[in-house]
Amino acid sequence: MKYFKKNKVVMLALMLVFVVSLAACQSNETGGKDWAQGVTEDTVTVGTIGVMAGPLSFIGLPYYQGMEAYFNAVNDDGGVNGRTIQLLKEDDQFDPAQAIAAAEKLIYDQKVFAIVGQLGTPGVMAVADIVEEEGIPSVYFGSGAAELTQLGDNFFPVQPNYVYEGKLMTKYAIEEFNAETIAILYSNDEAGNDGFKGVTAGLQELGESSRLVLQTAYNPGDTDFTGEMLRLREVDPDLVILFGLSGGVANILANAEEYNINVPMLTTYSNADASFLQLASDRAPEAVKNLHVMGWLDVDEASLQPLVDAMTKYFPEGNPYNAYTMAGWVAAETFVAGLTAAGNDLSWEGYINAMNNLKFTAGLAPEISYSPGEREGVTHMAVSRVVVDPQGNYIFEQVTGFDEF
Amino acid sequence: MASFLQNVIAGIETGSLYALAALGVVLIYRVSAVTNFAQGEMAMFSGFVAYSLWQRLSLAFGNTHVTYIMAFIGALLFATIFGFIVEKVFIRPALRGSLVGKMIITLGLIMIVNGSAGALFGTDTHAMRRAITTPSFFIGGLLIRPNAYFIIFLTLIIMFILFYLIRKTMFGVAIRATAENETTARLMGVPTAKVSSVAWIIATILGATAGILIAPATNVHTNMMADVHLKSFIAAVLGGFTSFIGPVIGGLLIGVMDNLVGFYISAKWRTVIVYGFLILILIVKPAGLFGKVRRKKV
Repeated sequence: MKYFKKNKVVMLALMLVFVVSLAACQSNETGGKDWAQGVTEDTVTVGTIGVMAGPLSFIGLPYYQGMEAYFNAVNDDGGVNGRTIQLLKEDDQFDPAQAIAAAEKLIYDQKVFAIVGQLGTPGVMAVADIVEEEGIPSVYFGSGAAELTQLGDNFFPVQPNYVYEGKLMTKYAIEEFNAETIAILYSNDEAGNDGFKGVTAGLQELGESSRLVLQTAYNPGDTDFTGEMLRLREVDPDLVILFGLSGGVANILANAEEYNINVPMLTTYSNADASFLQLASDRAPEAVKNLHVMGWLDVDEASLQPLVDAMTKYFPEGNPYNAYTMAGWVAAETFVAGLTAAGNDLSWEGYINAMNNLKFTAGLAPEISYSPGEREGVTHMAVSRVVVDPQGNYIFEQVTGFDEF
Repeated sequence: MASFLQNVIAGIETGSLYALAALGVVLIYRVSAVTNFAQGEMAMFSGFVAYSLWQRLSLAFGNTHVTYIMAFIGALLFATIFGFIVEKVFIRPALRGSLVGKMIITLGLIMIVNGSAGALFGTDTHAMRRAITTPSFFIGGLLIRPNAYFIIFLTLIIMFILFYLIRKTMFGVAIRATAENETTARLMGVPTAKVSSVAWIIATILGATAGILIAPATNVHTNMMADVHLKSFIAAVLGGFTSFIGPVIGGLLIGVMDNLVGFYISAKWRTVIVYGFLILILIVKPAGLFGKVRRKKV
């Protein structure tokens, strides 16, 4: 008897959870209009998840400032179709477990309309199941994970994925650097392994696999690259591809300087940032001059002006912008482009349909477009190299046009 | 042959820094019976102090050897006070507490020190200068890196001083007596509270030295000692927590093996191979290479 009573209680509790979950996922019918959760007559609430404190906050802080600057500017101009955008931020400290908790809070408790600009591959991949299951639109990921292109209709990646970038690097290696021999040093993590996959696939598709004369992985925390440097001296390649993030690549450059390795090097767009350049030029003032970076943002003074104005207005105490600020800005830009296209059809389905036909060329990226089943994000990239300006500052200078694989 | 030598020398360089940090861990463990999980974070904080001092002094007086040495000494002075305060405020009140309780305190210290470093110094990554800035040069096929030789030389001197202190002085006798049995040592007139305090100070200085010397390779940031700290712990376990020479051998072994396995077998699999091998050693010698298993006599 006691057993059945207990079972009844459990059943009731389960039903309650089911009903609450259904309610959470249901549309928000206000005034007879079939809007999704997070949408009212005059607001659209969106959420974001990423690192905002701790060692990696040097990425998150400017990134979210860029995003907020864009939303603030849109809101001050009257919003989108009369609705202002409210951004709820959740800090996951680059921890996948915290990212899941944050996603659940945003989707089920705070009932946001969409996730915009989630930052960091581990968190993005951890949350992907929930986002896929719920069908909530998720626009722009601060991640180059290749899986994002395959996850479903409600995922809208923008940044180039690392596999694709690796492939495109091989095209530049052959056509721009005329490299007969190529070496790749890649970090033994998701970004590096994806990049390595792309490089080998790219060379294979081009029928040039024999050009890869050295491939070696390193752990992101490594500080001693003696073995890697000795191998590089041994094979003496025409181009070295460094597929890893900030600190590791700066360490490799410092080692390359010591071992007098003087060949062109090419690294991922994730390092196309002033803070990385500062670190790398401090560590390896000569070797860094051999460095080239991939880039996917097509910026000039005029295209950057709205960002500079917004940053000056809303974040007057910080730096005007860096690569992460631009990325956050593009995340917000992309979401707003979809929101504008969706008009008043703000169910999740309506927004996804609008995004499926998006071809946005008015932003910082050369072109962001989607079609049903196609989620490649940006595919056009250019190469910049590190140069020293007359004042002695190290800067990036674009040396190729935008091209795709 | 040149490649082999190059890998071994570079391995000894990083390995000697693991050894310094590991000695700090073992010293505290022996005297206070606490495994100080915050050793790495405390070293990171001292590294930030060194960097900040160096930046400020360089701005005022130029980036010279003198300003670097002043920053180095300043950071060691800070480490002295830091170690003293941590022992006095966090560890001594819990002297009679459980082992787990004391460990939790050091885990809590990780949060406090890391959070404070982020709040005080920011979360950016900075480049630190090397102790010896003389450029590297080749002799035959061998790259001579003056900074690496300096690090090896300095750590050897520090270790010899420490071993001399422990083996040949009254202070060393007091440390060893406290490590053997704190209560008996106290009853025999050994000022165990002072010994514990000094041990924490020395350990913090050792960690700070390791942190400042490795900073040019790791860069200065709030997570800079994570890898070094982990490896220094492994060095201590490998060498044996009950021995002072063991962690040194453990640290050097890890540094050299990391490089040789990475170069001759597989760079991608070196971590798995090296630490798999170390686990095998510990299966054969559970107390570590130089550790002693205490057996109670009936």
